[in-house]
Amino acid sequence: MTSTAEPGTAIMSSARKAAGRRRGMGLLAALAKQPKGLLGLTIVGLCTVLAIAGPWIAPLDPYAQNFAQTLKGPSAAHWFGTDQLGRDVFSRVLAGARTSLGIGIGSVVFALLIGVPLGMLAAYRGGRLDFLLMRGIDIMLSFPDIVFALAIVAILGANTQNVILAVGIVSVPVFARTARAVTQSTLAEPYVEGSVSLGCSPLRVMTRHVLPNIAGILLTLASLLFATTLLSASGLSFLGLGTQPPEPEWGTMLGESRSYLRSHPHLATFPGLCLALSALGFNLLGEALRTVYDPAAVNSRSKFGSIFSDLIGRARPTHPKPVRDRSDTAPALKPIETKDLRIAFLPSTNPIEVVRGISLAVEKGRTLAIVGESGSGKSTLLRAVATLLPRQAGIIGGSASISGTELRGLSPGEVQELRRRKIGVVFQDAASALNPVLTVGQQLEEAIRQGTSLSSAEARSRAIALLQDVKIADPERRLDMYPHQFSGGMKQRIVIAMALAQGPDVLLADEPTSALDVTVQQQILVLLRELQHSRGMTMLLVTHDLGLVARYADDVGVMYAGELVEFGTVDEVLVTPTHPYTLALKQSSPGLSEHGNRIRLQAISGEPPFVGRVPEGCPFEPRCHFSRNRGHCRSESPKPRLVLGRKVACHFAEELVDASASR
Amino acid sequence: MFVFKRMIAAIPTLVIVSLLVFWFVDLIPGDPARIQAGPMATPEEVEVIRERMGLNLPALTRYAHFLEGIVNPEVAVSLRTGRPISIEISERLPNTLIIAIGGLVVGVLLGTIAGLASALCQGTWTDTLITAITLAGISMPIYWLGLLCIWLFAVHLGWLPAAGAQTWAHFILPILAVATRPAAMFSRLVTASLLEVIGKDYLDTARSKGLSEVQVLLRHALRNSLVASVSVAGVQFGAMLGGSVVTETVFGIPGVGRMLVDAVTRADYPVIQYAILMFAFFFVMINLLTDIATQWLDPRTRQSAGAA
Repeated sequence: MTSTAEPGTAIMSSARKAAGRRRGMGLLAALAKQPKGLLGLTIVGLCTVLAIAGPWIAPLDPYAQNFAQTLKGPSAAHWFGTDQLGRDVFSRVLAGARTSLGIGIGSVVFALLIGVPLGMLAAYRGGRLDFLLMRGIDIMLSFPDIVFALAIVAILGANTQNVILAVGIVSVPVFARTARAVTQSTLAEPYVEGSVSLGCSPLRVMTRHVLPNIAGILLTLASLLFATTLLSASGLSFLGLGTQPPEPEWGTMLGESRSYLRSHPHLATFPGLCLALSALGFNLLGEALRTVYDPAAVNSRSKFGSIFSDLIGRARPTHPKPVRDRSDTAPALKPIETKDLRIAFLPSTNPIEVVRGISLAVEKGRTLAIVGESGSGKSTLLRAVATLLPRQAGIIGGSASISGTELRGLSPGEVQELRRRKIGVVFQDAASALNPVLTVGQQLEEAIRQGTSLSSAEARSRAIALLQDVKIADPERRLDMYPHQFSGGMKQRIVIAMALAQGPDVLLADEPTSALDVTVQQQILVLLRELQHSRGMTMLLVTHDLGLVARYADDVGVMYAGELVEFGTVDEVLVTPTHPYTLALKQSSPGLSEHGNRIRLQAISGEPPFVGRVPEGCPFEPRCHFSRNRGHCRSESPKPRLVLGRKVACHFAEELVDASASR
Repeated sequence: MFVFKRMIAAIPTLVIVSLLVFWFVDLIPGDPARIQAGPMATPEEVEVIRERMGLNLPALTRYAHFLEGIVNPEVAVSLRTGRPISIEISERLPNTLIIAIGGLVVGVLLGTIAGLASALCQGTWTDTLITAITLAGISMPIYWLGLLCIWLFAVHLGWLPAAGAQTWAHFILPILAVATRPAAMFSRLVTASLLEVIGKDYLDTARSKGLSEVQVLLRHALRNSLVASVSVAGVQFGAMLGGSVVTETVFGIPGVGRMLVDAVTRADYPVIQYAILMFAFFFVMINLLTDIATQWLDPRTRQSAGAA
């Protein structure tokens, strides 16, 4: 019973929003849509019918004894057989439904009627009453539920009514606590505070505002609790401390059957099955109700199949090793290189291409910034290069390599080795990139020691040096602190230190500063640049901030709808854009105007194409000011070509150059 | 500091609990001595029993006697057997504890494995099967499950003894039966907490350090369910101790739970009092330990507690 308290308190937060919408038939429909809900509803419906009609539809008198027919197995005359007194077990099970289920319902209703008003009152009044109630509940919870119920039965005597009372009293805390918590949070809502300050009577506040919010949660809780009270109450009867023979009750019947278990197991089968099925039904219904009233509390089950699929031997779809074009191999290996790289989500079932043929190369020691709107595929590109594509995504064509190592077709061990020594990754949100339950030192030392035979003392001194490198003062003390004790900027420094742990060749940074304050952004970027220069690293920086690109990057690639539309040095591309999209980005970016803020910023009209639904022809055509409805743009996708020393994918790149020259 | 405060806070709870349990006898409608003596007893006999039960003494003295009975076996004796209750309890307690601890260990192990499998095989039939078994496990009346186990393993197959506590083999069935619920709870907990952390960036951070998938899973993903696991383990352990009243009846084990049930049927009030007091003491201690452990395991609360 104690365990049911957990879902109750967990679901109250967001249930309120959903509560108002689901009523009556709508609720039934919402429940029936889930397999769990449908099964639960069916069983609960059956239980209700049995509880009402059970004693009437029983074919034989459940009390009639027949000593000529004792302990017979199931037969046509007695479907579930007969018991030690020759009574028909089937009739007794049917007749017992009313008692067993009635006890459960009675206890839940009792607990609800006492617990909910108590909890609401405590929350509304607060102060001493609240304190007393909570202390009282604490004391009650100092006894195991069933032991408490047993004590009540011991005081009152063993019979059906007292079992209802005992189990009901034990369940009061669950409702009282939940009602108190929900009422408290509802009362704190601005609109409720408003009506209180307008002089609404407490009763009105409760009925108008609190009850509607609480109803769904209570229904969920009641259903889950019913399953437990049913089992506890029948448990008491099983022990001989509840419903007394000869009254048919499932628990009592089970208790009686114990003496005949060796010879006549059928006596125990049916009452037990009924109990288990009823409890299952109410549990299923409760869970379905919870998904209706609190979608947020339900785990977002991955739609993309398994996670950690490498672990269970079903590795991600094996890609054939791409055939390397020998003639194309440059003498010097590029630190980062991709050739016609294509990445899709759900590559095996319903591929949605998000990176559509990207070829780029970064020279050693340089920084390439990839810019584009959200959804352009820039982060996916970075994740592919970092070997950290989400499970549901995969490379479906082309190649990607780090320092000459082709990333496709590597074994898990090779991937690990590459991640350890060659690649460092800096994530967007440092707060979530650090594990909250491990100290910074533990996480840093883990990165340092991976695949090495360093002692923990050596790793610690390396960790201290790394923290000094990222300019964190007092590193020795800081190593033993947890991530939440650091500011956002400091956390990002720690993430950078972890990326540097084994001296990587390339540093991959996915919007490393967009979660930070402007002043801190500068510090982090300056730090990244210094580290890059002192260690000779190559950097790939994904960002949407052109101002940042102008200041910190050497090369820039502009991505649109999964394609690289313009790629060249920052000086070339940002000063004289040759792609309409680059120009539009530049005009919409506040940080780029050289003459102060005189130039009016322009928003890019329209929306980028939906992933997987890129139109024919040039994907930017619908939003482009230069295409002027020229059919060419709509029919034929422009291929990247060299214009003014940079690669650009636009049919009319030259026109753009002329236009900007004449301006 | 937190530990100390929390331990101090448990003392008034224990005092109130002991007062409640002591007061329990007075709550019984009618005259306990009369009930004890039976309907046929003469008023003189009832007086003798009243004297023996100490019902004539002032309440405070009786409470002092009650507390003394915890440590002094001579003071508190069973009305039925005449044996000191503290000795009866200490003889039976090991059986009860073995089953609860065994059930917890087995439940945690099975549940963690099932939960892992369910999370790793999301959306496959393995996941569906485990989810179904888990739900069935939560809905199963333990007394029926116990009877089924006895019938199958003891009666039908003859592999294990059906009742008693003479050998270690006697404990296998009860432990398996009580482990069902904690196993189901842990399975859900592990699955839920894994699915919760699965999209978290710090798992990618761990991967980018070059950890293998197993290391990522064990060191980073599972680690975060530790705090929740401890509190669930505490709740389940307590529930199994309380559940011993049922389990020990089903499997015929001479433990404290069985003793309590017998005492209730025979109206042996001192035994009921001390047995309930013992359960409550364990419960309060379990809650205390769980609180301290979760506090200690969760760095966020640990630090603030250290600062306070």
